[in-house]
Amino acid sequence: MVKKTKVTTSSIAINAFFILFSLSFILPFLLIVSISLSSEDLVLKNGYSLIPKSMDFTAYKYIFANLKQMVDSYKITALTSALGTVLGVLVMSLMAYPLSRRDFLFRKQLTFYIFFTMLFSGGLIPTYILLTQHLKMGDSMWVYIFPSLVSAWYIIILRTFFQGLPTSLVESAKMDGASEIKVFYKIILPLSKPVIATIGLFVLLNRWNDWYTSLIYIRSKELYTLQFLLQRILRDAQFVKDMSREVPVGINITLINDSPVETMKFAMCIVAAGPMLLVFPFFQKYFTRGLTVGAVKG
Amino acid sequence: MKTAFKLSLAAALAITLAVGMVGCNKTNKTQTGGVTLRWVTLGPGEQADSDMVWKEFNQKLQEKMPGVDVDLQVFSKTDFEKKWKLMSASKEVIDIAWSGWLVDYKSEARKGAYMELDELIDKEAPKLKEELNAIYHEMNGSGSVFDSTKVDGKIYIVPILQALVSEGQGLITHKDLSDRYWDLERAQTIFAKAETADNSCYDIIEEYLKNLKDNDQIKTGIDTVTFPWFYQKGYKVMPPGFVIKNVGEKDYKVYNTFETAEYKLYIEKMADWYKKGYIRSDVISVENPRQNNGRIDGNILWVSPTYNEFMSESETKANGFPTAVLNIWDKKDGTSSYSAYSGTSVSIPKTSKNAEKALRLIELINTKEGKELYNMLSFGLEGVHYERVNENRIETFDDSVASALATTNSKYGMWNWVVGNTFNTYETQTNPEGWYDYVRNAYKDANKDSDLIRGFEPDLDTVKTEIAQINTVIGEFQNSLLSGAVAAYEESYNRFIEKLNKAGMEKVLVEVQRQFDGYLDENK
Amino acid sequence: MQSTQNKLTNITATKIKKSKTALFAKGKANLELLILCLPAVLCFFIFNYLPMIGTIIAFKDYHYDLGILGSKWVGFENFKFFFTSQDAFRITRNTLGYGALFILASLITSVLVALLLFEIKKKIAIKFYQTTMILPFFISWVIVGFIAYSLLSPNTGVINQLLSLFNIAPIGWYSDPKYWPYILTIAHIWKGVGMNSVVYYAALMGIDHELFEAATLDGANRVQQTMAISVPTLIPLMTMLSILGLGNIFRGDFGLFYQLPRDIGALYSTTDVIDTYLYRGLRTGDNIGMTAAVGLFQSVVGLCTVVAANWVVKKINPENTLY
Repeated sequence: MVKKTKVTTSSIAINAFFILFSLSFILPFLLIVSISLSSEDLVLKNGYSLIPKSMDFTAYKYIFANLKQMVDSYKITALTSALGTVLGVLVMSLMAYPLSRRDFLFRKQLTFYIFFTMLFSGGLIPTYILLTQHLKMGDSMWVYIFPSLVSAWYIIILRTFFQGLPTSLVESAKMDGASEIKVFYKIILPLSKPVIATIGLFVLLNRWNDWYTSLIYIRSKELYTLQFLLQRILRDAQFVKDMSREVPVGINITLINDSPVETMKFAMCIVAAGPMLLVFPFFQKYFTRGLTVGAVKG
Repeated sequence: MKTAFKLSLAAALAITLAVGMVGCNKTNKTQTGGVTLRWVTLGPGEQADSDMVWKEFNQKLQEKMPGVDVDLQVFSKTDFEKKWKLMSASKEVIDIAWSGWLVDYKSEARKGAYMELDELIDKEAPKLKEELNAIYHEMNGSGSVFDSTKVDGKIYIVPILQALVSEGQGLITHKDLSDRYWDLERAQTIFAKAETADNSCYDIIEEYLKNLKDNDQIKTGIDTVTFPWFYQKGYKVMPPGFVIKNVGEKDYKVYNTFETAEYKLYIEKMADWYKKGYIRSDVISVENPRQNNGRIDGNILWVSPTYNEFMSESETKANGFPTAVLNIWDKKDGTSSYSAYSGTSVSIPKTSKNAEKALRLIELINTKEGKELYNMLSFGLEGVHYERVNENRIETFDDSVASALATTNSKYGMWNWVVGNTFNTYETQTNPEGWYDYVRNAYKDANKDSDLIRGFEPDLDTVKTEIAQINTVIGEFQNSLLSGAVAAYEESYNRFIEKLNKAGMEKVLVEVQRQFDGYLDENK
Repeated sequence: MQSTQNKLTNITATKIKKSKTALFAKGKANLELLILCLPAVLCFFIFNYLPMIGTIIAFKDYHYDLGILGSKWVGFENFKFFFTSQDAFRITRNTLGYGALFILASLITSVLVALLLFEIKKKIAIKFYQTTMILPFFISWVIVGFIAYSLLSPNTGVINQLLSLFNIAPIGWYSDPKYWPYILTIAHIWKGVGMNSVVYYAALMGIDHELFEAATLDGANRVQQTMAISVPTLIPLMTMLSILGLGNIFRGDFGLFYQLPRDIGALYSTTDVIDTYLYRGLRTGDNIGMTAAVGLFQSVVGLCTVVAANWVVKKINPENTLY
């Protein structure tokens, strides 16, 4: 039976609120799209406007100039993000479950053990030395996946959720002789679809946006991530523009690259965000009420 | 079961990747059975024809250095400093490393990154020393090219000489505006006569600005980012806040930049001009006022840190509208070559295992002997990347390569001022005929002491805490004071000086003066 | 028929067997649970704890050729930069102030948004709102700075233009520090509420809707249901995220504090935080040791804050502690 949605004053109010709320996000985004499609000259002259005076794809053309490189970067980013997310969520939830069990002997100590890493870190140089000199992960795909595989923050959130699940389920399963890992797969995971999807989303988005790893560890251009590539295109263009006015190397300096630096910043935003916005609906599927406890009991 | 599926998917992916990775291994540099020298340098990054040109280069290198291979690693400006610091920290084996302006080479040397080169140069590369000094003497009369870049008395870098000359600083404006509303000749005379940026200089400029404003031609006003260089007239500037002035015959004193009369006058004038509308009202928050330089309806007055005779021509060409350039400094005092600077240089990191061979390669690239090799690295292969005009002149197919502005999208081109001695570079279509002769001549009448002063590099390690704190204070006040946008600027200025002193300015000043006096004694 | 004594022995024997089995089962369970933790524990050890040895850089005069262990020990020398600074009070006050403010503001807004979203029934509407809410996540602070500028620019900014329509004088947003605590907080909320509310929303998703049905039958209205069911479900998560947030209270979001105020000195009294101060002072020169020192200090303060917060929570509701 399909429930009829009642139109009440409260639902109108709430929807109105959200529409305004959403506008506050959409409008800036539209502005970004608009600027990315504007001509660089006009932007420098007139500042930013919501509707571009003319459609100018120069910024995008500049970014996609080296198509092969762009495709490589998309591939690498997609691959490492997907793999890293799946593995990461798996490993992290595997640890979050024991930590959620109040009868787990090492619960307190292990929680502190992982939480400590949220506050203290060795810093860039020691990490770099470890990863490149001792683990030989430099300039390879693995440096994207393993060092960032686990994060205490996500584990603790997962733990909080698992703690909220009724303990009676676990107890009855144990009494039936189930091993812990079976409990994990048959009971915990199915009931945690929303939170797994949430953490998965967070992890994926953060990996997608990462450009720092490429900056520090990667030399081969086939392994650049998308965000790093975009950052580089922008900063190199900026550098050439600055340089031709600063350091005189030769006399007749013609502005060879009239690169659309300002508009490019905005086009990059769109190029990077695009794929993820397409991926998001896939995750939204899981933001529905999970299996009822009753269904699992059977 | 969804999770089982997920697991197996993950496993499958992992295996595919592992297999793929093995294939992707990047360690297939051909070994000729001899030595491979790793050269880390600045540049536009990997280009389409990089491998082709470098292969050719290595083959040609065999003639001079048999059994030696060069493995070039080019990092872009955005990556270089970070990557260099990390490579150094992880003790990666590198044989030659660029140590130019993006890297604080003095600091790096003191932290043990580079090898001492004094003995090595005398033993293995006497020709390098000879040739570089010959050029250096043409420019500076005497001294050793390595002296001005020594750190604690030792040589750590080989400066890359640049065939550039600057004869002062340039004041740039639209030609048609200045024709109509200014008396360029009078202005030029006043600038030539004034020793420092005093009232007469500002007054003559203000005449121009007033005319522009009255005739509604002020556009976006003066560029407050580059205009501050104006107040440095007559001083030699050293970061992070000192200037050195000639106070007598061969007598110099170090001053706190911000307490000089010229600085005070400058911010006073700026505040005044802001009120009068010669500076844009949103100057403080606008992102990058400097990008309006060279635009026909942009800034109407800005300053260039260098000046030469051909500048009006080149600026006009670059901007697309007629541009006039005046020389602010006295030619004699302002002329300097870029030779003795450490703006671009190479070093041999301590981790190198082939220092002698590395130095020999540096020698080749920077002397006449290796002219062909050097230009091959800079421009590529004849017929493929450029056409030869005569023995010393070429025409590149890609304009950006010719002006040493090649990017990662160019087929091939490295920046010749990073690779080696530009006195040995081929002239390109962007150099007017006879540029290099012009450079060598221009320096004949200049004040040779300029370079001596410029060569002074203080060791600020003992006061590094003070320096860091001073930097924070400068960062807090500098922009607003220089832009003239602060209404109560006197108050702000007094606070600025107060905070500077609290941060330890006095202490640093004394230390720098002490080091400078010692430096002068050594080099007299 | 067994004698009473035999019966007793049997019962005790079964009891002992049962407790032995129970103990054994408990041990087995713990072992299995421990094994489940292993992959993560290993990862943490290799990638987080091993590099931590390098924290001693904060106490050393780092030289490349001597390495981390071989460089000279200089004690607290590297800490002088921060502690003897005349601005130490200002930046600490700002950092802590904004830290606390942001945690509170984020908490309230994210929970509110999640609760409100929970009330919406139409799936399409939910999907639409959620998608728009996460847009800011993809926008870097550099771009947000631009957007803010187009709103707040003294001459051409949208807000000042609106004000002039009502004959109100334009406000110099970028020259007066007093507006910035509001501006920065709003920006912080704007950027994060989308993603943060998703976490709370997921928690709400997990509530058994039989509870709501039962409450409706009992005659509770929506607000009462929210207070009685939804909010208590969120309390553990709210507590946890707050405690975690406190751990980083001494660290500011550099992008936010640097890009939005455009590094304008006049605004420093309300926009300068530890991380921007560091950036300004240590941009050039030898800074490895000093940066490490301040970072270490930030971590230690964070640890103290969390330990204190956890202790407080323990007194209120031991179920919700971190450890």
